Amino acid sequence: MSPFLVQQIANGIMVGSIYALIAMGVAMIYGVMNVPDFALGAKAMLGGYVAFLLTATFHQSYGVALLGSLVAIGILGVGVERWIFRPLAGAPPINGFISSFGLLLIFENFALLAFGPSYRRILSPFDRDIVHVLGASLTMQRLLVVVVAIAVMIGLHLFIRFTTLGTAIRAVAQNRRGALLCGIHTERIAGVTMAIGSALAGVAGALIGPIAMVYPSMGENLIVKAFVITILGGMGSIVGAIVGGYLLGLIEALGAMYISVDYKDAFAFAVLVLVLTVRPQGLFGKGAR
Amino acid sequence: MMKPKRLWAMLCVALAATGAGHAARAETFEFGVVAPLSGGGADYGTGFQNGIKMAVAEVNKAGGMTVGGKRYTLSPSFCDDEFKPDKAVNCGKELASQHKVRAILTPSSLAAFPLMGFNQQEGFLLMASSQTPRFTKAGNKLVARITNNTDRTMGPWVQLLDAYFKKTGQPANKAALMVVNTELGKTWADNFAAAWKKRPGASIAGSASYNANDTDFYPQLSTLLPNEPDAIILTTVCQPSSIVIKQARELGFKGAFIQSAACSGEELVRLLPAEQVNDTLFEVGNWGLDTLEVQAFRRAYQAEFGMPPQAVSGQGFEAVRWLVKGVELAGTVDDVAKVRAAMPQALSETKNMFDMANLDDKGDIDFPMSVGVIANGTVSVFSGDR
Amino acid sequence: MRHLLPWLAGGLVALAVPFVVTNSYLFHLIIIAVIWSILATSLNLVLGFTGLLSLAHGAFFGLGAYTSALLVTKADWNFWATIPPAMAVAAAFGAVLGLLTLRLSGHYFAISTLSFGIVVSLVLEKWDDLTEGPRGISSIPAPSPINLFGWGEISLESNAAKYYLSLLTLALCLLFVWRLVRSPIGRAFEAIRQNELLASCLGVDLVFYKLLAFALSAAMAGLAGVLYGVYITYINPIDAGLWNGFYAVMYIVIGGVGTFAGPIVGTLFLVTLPELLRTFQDYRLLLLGVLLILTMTFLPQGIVGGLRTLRQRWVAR
Repeated sequence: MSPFLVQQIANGIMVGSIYALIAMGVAMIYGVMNVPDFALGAKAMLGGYVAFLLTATFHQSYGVALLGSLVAIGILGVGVERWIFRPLAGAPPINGFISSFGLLLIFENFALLAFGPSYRRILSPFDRDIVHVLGASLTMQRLLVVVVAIAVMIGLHLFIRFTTLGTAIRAVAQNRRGALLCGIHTERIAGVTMAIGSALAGVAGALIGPIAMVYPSMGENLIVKAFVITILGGMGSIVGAIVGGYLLGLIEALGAMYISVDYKDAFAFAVLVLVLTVRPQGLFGKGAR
Repeated sequence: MMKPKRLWAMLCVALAATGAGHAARAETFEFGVVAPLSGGGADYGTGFQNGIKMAVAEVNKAGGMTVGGKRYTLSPSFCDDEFKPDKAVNCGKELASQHKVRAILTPSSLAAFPLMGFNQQEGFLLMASSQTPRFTKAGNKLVARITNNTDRTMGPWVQLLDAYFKKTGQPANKAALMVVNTELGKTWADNFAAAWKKRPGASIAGSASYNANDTDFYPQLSTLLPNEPDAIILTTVCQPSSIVIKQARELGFKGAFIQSAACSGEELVRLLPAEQVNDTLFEVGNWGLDTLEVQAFRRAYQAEFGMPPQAVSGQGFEAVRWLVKGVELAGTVDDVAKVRAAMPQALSETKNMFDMANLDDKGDIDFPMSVGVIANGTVSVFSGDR
Repeated sequence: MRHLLPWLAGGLVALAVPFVVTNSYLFHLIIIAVIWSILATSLNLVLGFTGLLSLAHGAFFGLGAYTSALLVTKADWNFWATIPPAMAVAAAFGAVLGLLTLRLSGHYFAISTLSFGIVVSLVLEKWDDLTEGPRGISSIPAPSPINLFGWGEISLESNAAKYYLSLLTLALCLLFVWRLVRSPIGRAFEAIRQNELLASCLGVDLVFYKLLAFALSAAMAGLAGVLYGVYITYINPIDAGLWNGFYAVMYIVIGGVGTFAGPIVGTLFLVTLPELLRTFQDYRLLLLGVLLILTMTFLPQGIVGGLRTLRQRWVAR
């Protein structure tokens, strides 16, 4: 196997991990709250800045920075649910979409005002060592991204499957009214879901920071791809988001290698459109829509 | 209710007071700046804006501009075009009709081209840091470049590169292009490729495009590196270029990097460790010569804004000084045709850090370009016979 | 007939604009708002009246703009002759999108259209032998003068002329949509909007009507693009990108989905607002975000929808 093929696959898996994390956030939030949160990419960006602040200004370790971004953006998510999305509960989802776009503008320009437009580098101890796997070069940071993403996915899966809170979330996602009748506090669940989804995005930003730098508009490209992934995987399906994320990362990498690197960004979108013509509910979506 | 006469008297006094206040103040000369201050181009636009602010402060501190015996303070109006052509038009129209500016400065072709659609009509001079040849080929009589025209400078510059490679003896036949998908990047890359291929034995070993705010280049690099290029060509600003360099080194690339003027070597040295950034050659105006003038500018900028300037910051700075000279020589703040006519003379009288000279009728200038070299973690300049 | 009064009044005001508005900045905002209104109206046809959220309309807009600009600048065509092909190209792509998304609904539909739009704009950007890529097409000339056979010519060089051309186009588009919505075709659209399954059970040919809606809507969006090109004189792949698609959706939703005035009101509001906010300098876009959220929270039916509700409440007092 050509070392460059391995390299491209490794690239694809790393990129896919970041996409998957954010897509999981989108899927969760959509599944429970029926709102397409377009500001999740911007939350990833804020997570990146939190990590930057913790490492650069407060001289904390990178591990603390990761944890910090997770917690900080999770809390931000709770606030956003409470004050932005809850008042929109009765309106059509498109209103929520536009509000989340407004939120994106707020986050991006807040970051611009607070931190300036220059790109910031997050220093991570993992960014120096290079590992060679099957002929591909990977920095430890890239490996870390994949490892942490998978750990988070497993953790989330266990949480959703085996805890009471996780079950409550599943219940609300399946049938909100039914869950309400069962005595589940749906609004609180919405808050928790938003917190988790946002935290996922926040940590994604902190992970990609050392590799790709942090700057105010970094979330824009991420969120568009994240939406494509959630649809590809099937709206509301977390497994779908994960599979979709890696699939997208690999399609981009392999498409770049074998077809054309110039049209790299187009492949993911083209694949989505084609998949949906054959399978309108996405790969793991529930039932034909 | 006060007697009408008294009220009237009080009004008159009040009006007179404000009138007196006006006479005591100096006049202001307003000009416009259309630049990306938010979104993906914010870094670049802010650099340009800051250079302008510095020049304005300097001129105003020295007493301002003197035109026809009257003193004028400079008052720039900055407008964020969000790096979108239609917003650039919004900005241009606002500046022209609300602020009645007679000159607009912009750092990119993205705003320059739509502004060219009405600058003659609205009567303002357009000074742009656009390297695209077409800026001066549209027959617009009120444009002036504040940077080089790649059509004119690329040939001699690549010859200079050739001389450098001959001197160091390193392999320099296969070049892989990393082309940023902006007008600037694309034009520069095309001009470069044409000039490069004229060198005996030289070829372009692959080309990959990317978006201006991409930050992961493993896909492109993984496609280019199998061709074993001797040099990777970078066409955009420092932030993404620095990432390309870093990631190319991570992937085992040992060749040279050749960077367009969009990024100055100083910034690269600041962003990257020596072992990664060594063996980078960059296209540089006198910026890279690090003359006393440039050093002074860098220090002042750093002190004022807490970050190092970009080349485009210097261009904004010099554009203001040049414009001021032009207006002073023309003897009018309103007649834009006269100002434009005075600009060539003004340029020759404005000693600037880039050694810009000879504004021609079409709007092009001489803008000498050298080859900057990063070696041993420091920047030096290769001017040919060394 | 009473509900036509605001339209007549608005029309008269619009006609008087070039004579009354002397400030060229304000005039420019009005012209560009008229052009965006055409785009918004086109989207309203699929979104408001057929219930299909398309995020691809930026691409149709761009396709129209590019077709016309390329034919004029590279093949020396007469501007007027480029209008049919520009609309046809956009319509063709619209029909293709309609086909691709036939079985989709809801968010699947929306994201699929989003992806389609992105692919189109990426191709426009990368295929630079044809489109000049990121260089864009500059110095687009004004439309050639209209020959009045013996009575001279109408020149279209001035901004006022371009304004009237755009205004006329908007009026024609609005009229077209109005007639369409009131026709049997429009009723089919409405049926699809309300409940697709039920509509198809009632014999509505979903395939035909969806394709039709898309093709017509795309053609109109393309027409808006053509006008944009000759007014701004410069087009760039960014103009075909997803931001224009998003903004078009915003104009409609903020204005009021499914109303005729909604797209226009929304466009005027969202074109002038960011400009008014320029006094706030660096906080401008942040404030815009806040305003978007406030509007969605307190006026969930958009401005026109909200006004209607207010009027109903007032009448009911």
